[in-house]
Amino acid sequence: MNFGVLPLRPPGAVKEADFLRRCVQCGQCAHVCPWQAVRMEGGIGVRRNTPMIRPLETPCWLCMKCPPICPSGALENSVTAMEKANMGRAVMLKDRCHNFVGDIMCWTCYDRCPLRGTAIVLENGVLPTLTDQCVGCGVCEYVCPVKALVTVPREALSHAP
Amino acid sequence: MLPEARRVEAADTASAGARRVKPAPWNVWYVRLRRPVQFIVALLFVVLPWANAQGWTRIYGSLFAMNIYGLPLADPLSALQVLVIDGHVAVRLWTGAALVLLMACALGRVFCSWLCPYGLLSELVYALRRRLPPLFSESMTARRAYWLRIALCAAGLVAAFACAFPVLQRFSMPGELSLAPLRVLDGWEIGMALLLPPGAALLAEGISGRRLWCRYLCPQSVFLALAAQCFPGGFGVRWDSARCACPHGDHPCLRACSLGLAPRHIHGPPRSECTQCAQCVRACAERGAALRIGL
Ligand code: SF4
Ligand code: SF4
Ligand code: SF4
Ligand code: SF4
Ligand code: SF4
Repeated sequence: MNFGVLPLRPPGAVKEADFLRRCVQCGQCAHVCPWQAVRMEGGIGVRRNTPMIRPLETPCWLCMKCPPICPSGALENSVTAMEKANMGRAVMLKDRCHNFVGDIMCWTCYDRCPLRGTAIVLENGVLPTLTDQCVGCGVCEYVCPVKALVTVPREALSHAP
Repeated sequence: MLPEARRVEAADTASAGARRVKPAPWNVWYVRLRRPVQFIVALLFVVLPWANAQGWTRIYGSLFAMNIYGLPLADPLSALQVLVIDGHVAVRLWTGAALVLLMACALGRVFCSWLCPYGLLSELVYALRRRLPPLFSESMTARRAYWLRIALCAAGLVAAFACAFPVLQRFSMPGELSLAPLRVLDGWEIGMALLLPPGAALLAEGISGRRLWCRYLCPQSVFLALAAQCFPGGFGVRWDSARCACPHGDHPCLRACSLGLAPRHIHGPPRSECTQCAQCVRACAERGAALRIGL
């Protein structure tokens, strides 16, 4: 599935257009991330050297260390609660999920979600289901053994199915 | 007979003494410490991503903007671009920029000769290359070169506004180089691609034998230069004409300056251009020590 070229930004990022206006590419968010989840984008386009998260490599564990240190206002300094990270949303591909397919009982995503119980709930006690509390940190995408979860950046959501 | 011989001898030592005036010890240390500090700063940025990953985050960021033990420092051009593009006053960026500008005001462009990793590489390339004559003589005056940089910087700000992203960050050698080690995580290919602009600039400097980027193009130096100019009485190179012992047309200080500046002025070299590298002071120390660096 392709959600365009929009990158997943660190927690607390302002609107993508404003983000590109403000981010001075200083890399401070990348430096403070204890998980090295924040990577500076490559290429030579307008997004070069701007921070992004590639959940399949390293997701954001919502430690919330990066928003307060951004000096430029590209990340809102006031965002320090996990629930307010507002990076995007995870989308479930039910035809892949073990529990939906019914072969194995898995729940890895539910177990590892930093917002377990609010962002992912278990419907009927069995089926992991994403709610609108999901902030798009990408942890479930990272941990799912069958790649049944895809993290969609906030502004790509309107184009998502 | 005997007393006269003594007098001649005394006069000889006196004139020899006058010719070999010792430069102030502080000046000697200034020259000696500079290169090691440049290397240490470059090394700091190389190990920073690793140190941060180990949980040591007293220092983080790049020469675009960084944080040292809680003290913000920023490239004034970063703060200005955010303001121009978005109308947003980024308080922490401006605080950092103000500190940097204050430093430039008081100490001149010491950033260029002590901290900038590109400055280090450019100086090294220049030093290696100078055994051969440069490709061309510096025909544009320092003043014109300054204006050229101002014009390019202004054009970059307009472009940043038009393109709605900080375009000038692409033309920041100190920024790119200090950020580059972070890219090693993403694989060497990307890391190498990032080093292309500084690499190309260094190659051009190596071929020409002139410090082209720093003298004619560097946008980041513009605000440092403007700030430095605000306070002519600040720290800098001074020339004492009475001590200048060089015969006409033979000035080691002129040959020593990698930026092609002329330090033989009462007020020293043009403050907007001089990076306070003190190469001229070092060259002069072997002659009359007419040049010194200080207040
Ligand atoms: S919130 Fe924490 S884990 Fe997530 S990107 Fe920021 S620093 Fe990294
Ligand atoms: S800390 Fe802010 S300005 Fe610096 S790279 Fe991250 S988002 Fe951009
Ligand atoms: S981790 Fe993947 S397979 Fe397991 S329950 Fe979650 S979505 Fe299904
Ligand atoms: S002129 Fe620019 S590139 Fe050269 S040393 Fe100064 S800041 Fe660095
Ligand atoms: S005038 Fe002297 S101190 Fe200034 S840049 Fe030239 S050599 Fe360095």
